[in-house]
Amino acid sequence: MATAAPKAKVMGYLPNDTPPFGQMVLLGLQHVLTMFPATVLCAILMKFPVSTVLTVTGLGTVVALVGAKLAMGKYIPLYYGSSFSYIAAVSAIMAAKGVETAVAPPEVIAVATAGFIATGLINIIMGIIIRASGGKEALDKILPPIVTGSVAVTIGIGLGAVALQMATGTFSSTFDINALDNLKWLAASMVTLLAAFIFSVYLQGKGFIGMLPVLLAAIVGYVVSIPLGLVNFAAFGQEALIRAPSIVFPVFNDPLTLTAIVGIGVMAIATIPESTAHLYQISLYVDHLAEEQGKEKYNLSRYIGLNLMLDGLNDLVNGLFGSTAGTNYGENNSLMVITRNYSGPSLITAGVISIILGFIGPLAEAIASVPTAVIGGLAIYLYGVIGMQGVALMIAEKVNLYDPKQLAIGATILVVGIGGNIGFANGFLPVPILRSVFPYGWPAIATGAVLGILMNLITFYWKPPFERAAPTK
Amino acid sequence: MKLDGEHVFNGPREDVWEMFYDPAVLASAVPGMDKLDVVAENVYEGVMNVRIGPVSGKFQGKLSLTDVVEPESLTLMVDGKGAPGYGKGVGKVVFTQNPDGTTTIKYDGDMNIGGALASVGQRMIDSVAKSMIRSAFETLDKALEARLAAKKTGTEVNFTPPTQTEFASGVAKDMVGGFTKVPEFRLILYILPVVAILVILALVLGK
Repeated sequence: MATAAPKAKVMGYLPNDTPPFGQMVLLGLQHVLTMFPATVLCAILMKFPVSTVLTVTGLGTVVALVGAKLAMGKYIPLYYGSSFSYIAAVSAIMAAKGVETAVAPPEVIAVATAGFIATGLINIIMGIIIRASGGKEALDKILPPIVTGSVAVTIGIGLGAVALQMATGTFSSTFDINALDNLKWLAASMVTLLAAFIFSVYLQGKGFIGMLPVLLAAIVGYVVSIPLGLVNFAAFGQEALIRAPSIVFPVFNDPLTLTAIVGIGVMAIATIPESTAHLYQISLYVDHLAEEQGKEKYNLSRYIGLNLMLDGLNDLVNGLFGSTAGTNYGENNSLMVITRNYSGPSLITAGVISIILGFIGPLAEAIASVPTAVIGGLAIYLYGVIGMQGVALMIAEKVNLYDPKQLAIGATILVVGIGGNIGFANGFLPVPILRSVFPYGWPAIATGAVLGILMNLITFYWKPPFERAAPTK
Repeated sequence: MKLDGEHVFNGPREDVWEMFYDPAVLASAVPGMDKLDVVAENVYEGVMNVRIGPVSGKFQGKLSLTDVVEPESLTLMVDGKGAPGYGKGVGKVVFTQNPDGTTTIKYDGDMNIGGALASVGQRMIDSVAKSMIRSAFETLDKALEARLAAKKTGTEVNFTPPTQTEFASGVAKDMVGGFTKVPEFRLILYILPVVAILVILALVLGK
């Protein structure tokens, strides 16, 4: 063999590779475990039935992956779980409808999901526009990092009050600051917060377990809550072992539908940069593996528009079946990078496993028994992280915060979004315009976002005389 | 945008080379270009009428040949500016004599487009660029044939370049044929029936 001896086989699966069945199931299970904490938390925080969300997000992932394969002959290896970006907007709808139960009634879910349909369509349209107008530059013009970063900050920090209410139990009408129960509640939430902090900081780089800090913190919080009497064991044993998750079709004739469409739909802009960043990230790693294996590169980063269209398609699936709008998960990207398994078929397997999980009654019961105090402890951390990621985006994109243009746009989005979401009833601004569209007022975060976009567009057509430079060190 | 490919000319390398060096022939190969003026050695200027989708207008173009290694290779630089935007490109062209008397030219270049022209969309530009190149080669094939025939008989070169309309119909043909190959278009073809089925499924299950 004097000529071209085959290279030593580099372990790893490229998107179009199909691992052997046993491996595929194991890899799929890992994906499910990775997306599980965030997706389940999203469902709980938005008051959606967890089983429906597990089943439908799984279906959405399968539909999106198959779509990529049929459209371009290769998989885009991303897992679509529930997105945190919609919690604030959905919570506002739930609050306006006076939902007090842990899971909202179907007629309320149907209003929120109409908003997810809007999100899906916005994503698909943005994808087509980006494809037609030549890529990321067009995206950056309409949605510069000062807008997307600030919107992410408002979504996270705007939920700060909700997180604290859950962590302290103050949302309850029977709350009494002197009661011992209150102290137990606080203990459970603070232990959970501390556990989430310690696990996420100190388990880094410890392989797969390092990717599950939230799940582990929830388990610690749960265990601590048992002696404190916060876990409601009476809820167990109510459901059949196997039962179909509830499916809710969106309604479009509710008085709040238009508010939902605008308030929730606009949140798509928060997931667009996130989704694009994930695509770039996974593309880099996939091509690196392809190069090592001496195979043709995938160049997935070329398909920003297509990727957004897939995101939108996934939102449509979720919206149609009464689940929460999704986004591709950075957690699963990390898992793929660690395991070097970018296989599309194993992601499809993960989707199928998630679909099946939604049918298991006791699982839903176990999740439903997680005390609100534990969720509250996690929420302080997770909502804050959403906000911090907005800041990180602006730092990474080197936004010049000494330029009055950027300052004004960011300032407006933050004050209207955070101030409006926390300070006004259910996060609706009392603007007496378009009352027929927004009977409860304007959704604050979406209003802030749209104001920011419009201000940016003004500076685009009416150029500022100069840009104030950042001071050099 | 990357532009690369190759083309086989039915004639010896010297004649192909010579043809490339004739500004009149080069001008005829570019649709919408009436003539090229020699402004310096290996530098030409000309006006070109461009029409791509909704964008049309006159381009002031400069074409220069550098790194000339006669008759093997040269680098072609194009620089155009006009109301519809601007375009800049650079490409290396290599001429190889084949044993059967034909000549293969290989080209490999990069093109940047900006202004209103860029707004018509990458896809459209890709198609137009491909059509332009294809039609340029068709024209050059005919031009070479005419030159070789003239050389043989010792008569005047008898050759008329194609009109703008012929070029436009070529672009249209390329666009339609290529549409189903665009991933985003194929994805829409997937989304529509899938969503329709899901809507029906959701309606049934939601009851």
